[in-house]
Formats: sequence, C-alpha cells, structure tokens
Amino acid sequence: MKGALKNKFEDYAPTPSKDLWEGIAEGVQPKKKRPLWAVWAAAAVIALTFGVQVVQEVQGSRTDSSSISNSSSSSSSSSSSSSKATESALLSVEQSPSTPSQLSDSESSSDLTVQRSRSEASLRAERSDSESTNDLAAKRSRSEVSLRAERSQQNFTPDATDSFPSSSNKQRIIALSTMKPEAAPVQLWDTPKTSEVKAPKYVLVRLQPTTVKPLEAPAKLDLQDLEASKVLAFASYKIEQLGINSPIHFNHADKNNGQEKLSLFRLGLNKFSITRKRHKQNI
Amino acid sequence: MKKRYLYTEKELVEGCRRQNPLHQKGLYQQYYRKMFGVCLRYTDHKDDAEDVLQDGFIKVLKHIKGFKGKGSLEGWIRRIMVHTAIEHYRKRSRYFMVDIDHAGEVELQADQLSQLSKEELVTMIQALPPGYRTVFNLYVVEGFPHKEIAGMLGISEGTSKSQLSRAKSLLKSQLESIKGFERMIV
Repeated sequence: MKGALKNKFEDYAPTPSKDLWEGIAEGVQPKKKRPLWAVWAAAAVIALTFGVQVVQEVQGSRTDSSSISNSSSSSSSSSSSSSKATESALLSVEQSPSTPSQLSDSESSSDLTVQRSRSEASLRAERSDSESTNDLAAKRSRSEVSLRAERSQQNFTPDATDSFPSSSNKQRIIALSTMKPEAAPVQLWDTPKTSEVKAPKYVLVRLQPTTVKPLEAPAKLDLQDLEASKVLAFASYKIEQLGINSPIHFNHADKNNGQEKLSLFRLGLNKFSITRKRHKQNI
Repeated sequence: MKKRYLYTEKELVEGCRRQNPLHQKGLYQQYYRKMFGVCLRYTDHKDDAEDVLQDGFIKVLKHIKGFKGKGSLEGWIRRIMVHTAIEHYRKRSRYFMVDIDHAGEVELQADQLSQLSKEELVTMIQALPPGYRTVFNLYVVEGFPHKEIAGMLGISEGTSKSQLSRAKSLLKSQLESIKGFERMIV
C-alpha cells in the first residue's frame, strides 16, 4: 500500500490562493539593520534622562533639609560652608550634650547628617500630613529608615563615637518599623493588581475527532429500505467531489419494487430532487 | 504573451543564495503546487494548508544555503514542508500526540484506496484526527519507518504504530460506508 499511495500523489498539484507569494516575499526580505550610532545615541539619551532625574531628587532633598534646619535652629553658628551649618544646627537640636560628635570633614559624617536630615524631613512630613514637594525623596528616606531600623534591631550596638540618632530618634525609628502595612513605605514601583492581569488571548481546546454529519432528509424523500440520512451523507460527499451541479445516480434493489434507478440532483444547500425509474426485470 | 523563463535547479539554488528576487519567485512557481498538495494532506483545511505552505517557503528561501546538493531539491523542499506542517499543529494543539497502547494491526488493501480519486483520498485523509493523519502520511505516503517517525514527532515507536493502525481502521470504516452506497455509480 505504501508504494501505491506514494505514486498516486506524485502528480497531485492543486492550486492555492494567488496572493500567497506576497506574504512569502515579505517574510524573506532582509531586515533593515539599524546603524550602530543610533543605538548608542538612544542609550546616551536614556542615561542622561535618568541622571538628570537622580540629580534633581538629590538637590530637592538637600533643599528640604536646609529649610528644616533653618526653621528648627534658633541660633546657628555661621560657618564657611552651608553643609557645616546644617550639621551643627542638627546636632544642637538632636544630639544630647553627652554624645560626642566627632565631626570631621570626612564624607561619612556628612553623609550621615544628610541621611539624618532626610529622616527628619520624612518625620516632619508625616506629622504635618501634607505632601512635601519631594515626595519621592521622602518615600525613599522612609524605606531607608525602615531598613536601618530593622538592622538596628538585629545587630546594632551603639558606639560612643557613633553619630547615629539619639534615643528619641531611635524610638521613632522603631515605631516606624512596626508600622502597619498600609502605612508602610511605598515602593517606587507598584505591583500589578490581580484584576489588571489580562486573560490569555488564546485558549487551548482539546480537539475532537471530526465526523461527517449527514444532511437532513427532505420531507418528500421516500426510500423504505435505505436509510435516508446515510444516502444523503454519501450523496453530499460525492457532490462535493464532483461539483454542485452534477447528478448522482443510484441503482437500488428493492424487494417490493425490484431494481430501480434513482437520480439525485442537488438544487441548493439542503434541497434535492430525486427521480425514480423502475427496471423491467426483478432481481 | 508573457515570456516564461525556466531556470534549472542549479540556477535556482544559486540565484536564491544570492537573494535574487526573480530566482526566488521562480523557485516558488516551480514547486508551489506540488508542495500545496503535500500541505493539504497534513492539514484539515485549505487555509491551514496555505499557512503551512507560506511558512514552509519562507524557511526554504531563508535556509537555501543549507541545501548541499545531495538529493533532489524537490525532496529537500518536501521535507521542510512536512516539518513545518508538524510544527504548525504542535503549536496549535496541546493534545497533538498522546501515547496510547498498541491498537493492533489493521489491514487496508491498496486496491480499496486505488479506486478513489486523489481529491477523494485527500478529503478522507483530511477527515482523520491530526495525530493519525500525520503518522499515516509519514509512513504510507512519504515512506518513513516508524523509528524515524517516532524521533520526528517525539513519541515512541509503539505509539507511531498504534496511530497508524487507528488511522487505517478509520479510513477502512469510511471506505466501507462509501462502498455500501457505491453499488454502482454511473
């Protein structure tokens, strides 16, 4: 059977749609390569935009801290640089006199004061219940504070030389860290809600084996021995092969009527006309 | 009257390697009808067959450099079409191939099928479920052994044999129902 069927399909060459070649030509066209300089330019633009945003945030937090320190401190010793003024002002308000503050011009101490100023800014923002101009900086500081609070709870041992916040601030930090999730620091990016998740575009459906459904028999058909539905199923199958206008002829052997010839003509989708011719000889 | 330029196989391959649009179209025009016949046997609808034909020819033209000249170009293109058809149904159907127990051998005589026309045969093959249809085509028409079919489809050899048996039994029952009325077609 193998060879017979293979030979049968050797010269089987039906004609597909005419517009197929256009789709193939499109798929075969080589993709236009983007010049390298365009890629680098795009990367540079993205980096610049990000850098500008970061700088703006840092500047905003610094202006906030400077405004807070100016308002809180009544007397502040003038110093050459504004950062030193900030440091001393904060120290005079927050630190207890016994806590030594060995401030140096090193970066670490200035960083700590900046961070402290940020935390102060966030606390004030909470108290006032009004949104500050730099919401993002405030939110970041809150997240930093909560992280630091966690670490402080675990491993922190206060050092005499450490210029970490005083006990009152420590209590505030601990309070912040035990805040309820609703009041917890907001992430910089929101997790998508479950309702926003889109349903998949395609649904997998199990394929059922296809069956050929027979056509309904017309009311006028009267074939006593044959099952009308089976006749029409076969007839429709043959008509599809031969063409819609071709008639189909049956030789039918009937016990009562003898041999007869049936001709089936398709008039429409479910309309047939059937003629009978009885043969003279019986089976 | 339009002039038709017939290229040899070598010319077509060389031209397609250089991505010459004329040669690419020439290759398509030379083989598209036969390959459409192949695709019709592996799908159940003309539209699916055209999709497979389109994807298959895109692969042929993109990977023409992979044709080393061993064997005929038509056979090489045919193999790509068959693989594209199998991939097409794998993507669409999660239940394309399921391992089933050996269903036993079914005898289907060649003369039973030889009486039917090519279009009738293709219609009957298209009516088979995708898994049975693919194995039937690969074994009976293309002539691949069960071991190779199992490797291509990711199934066991036993499953390949079972799929073929079931395909044959389905075709046999279809033939019998047709034959029952075909007492005499004038």
